[in-house]
Amino acid sequence: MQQLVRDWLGPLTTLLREAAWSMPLGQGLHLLGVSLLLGAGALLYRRLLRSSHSEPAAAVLERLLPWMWIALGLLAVTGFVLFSAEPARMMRSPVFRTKLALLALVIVLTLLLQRRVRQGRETPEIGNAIAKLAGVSLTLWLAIAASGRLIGYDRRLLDYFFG
Amino acid sequence: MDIESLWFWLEGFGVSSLIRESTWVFPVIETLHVLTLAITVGSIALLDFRLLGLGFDRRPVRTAAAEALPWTWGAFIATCLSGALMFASAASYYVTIPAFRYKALCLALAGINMLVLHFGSWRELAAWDGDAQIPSEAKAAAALSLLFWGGVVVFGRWAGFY
Repeated sequence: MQQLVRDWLGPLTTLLREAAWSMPLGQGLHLLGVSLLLGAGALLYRRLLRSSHSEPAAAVLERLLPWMWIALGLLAVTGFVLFSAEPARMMRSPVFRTKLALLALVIVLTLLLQRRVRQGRETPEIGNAIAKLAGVSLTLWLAIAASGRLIGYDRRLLDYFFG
Repeated sequence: MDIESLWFWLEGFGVSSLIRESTWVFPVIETLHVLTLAITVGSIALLDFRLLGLGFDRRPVRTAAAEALPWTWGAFIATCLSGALMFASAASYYVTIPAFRYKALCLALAGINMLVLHFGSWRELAAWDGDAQIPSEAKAAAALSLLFWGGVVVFGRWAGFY
């Protein structure tokens, strides 16, 4: 398996490492994806956290959630390229592993949220459940974005705090 | 006082040396900078997409703006504060970085573009909002906004590689 990964990613890793502009540009594009995701997310979760608004939750979801999926697609593509530049270091990084775990969790929660909201009926209990999902999801997205930035410092910070 | 001594004056603050010398303060400020920048640029992009007629928002532009702009300004203030702290920690160095200069240029252009829109077609917003046709000046401003803010993000990240 490792050999397979090396054979397939090896040439890409070399290419990305040798071009001076590839990492800054790749990270810059990744950050554009983060911007779209967090921008749409901030507006979406803010509206879902407060019930009894003039606009139904389903309408808010339909105009904002697609942007988050589009952003996630861009993030997946640029993220894979960035991962390919230094796969060994990424796999060892505890911050990167945490980020992936949180990402898997928030994707499941987002699918649940989408289903809940699309069920339509807005009883107080459903509104409550939606608000809870929104609050947890927002926290997770912020943590994922923060951990993405901190991957670059993980060795330094872990040594500093945990010796 | 020449401009050079201004950079050194900024670096002389206690908070500047604290940021330089600490292991964790800079990464924490940088992370906050990235999160707030993302919300700034993301909320601007949503409004730009609305003006361009791209996406999933069919509400009047005024409604979309009223929803997005408080996020834009709140997050922008936080981005400026965190950015100013990082800048002060090594001001005389940052000003020499080409990517940092391009970023500052993009930021200035984004600001001018916003002012042109604000004092231009935005003043007649009530006349064209809700109807199908968005003036081409407003669309051009939206496209330029995406370009300039994209430049701010990409060159900003690039500046960190020096």
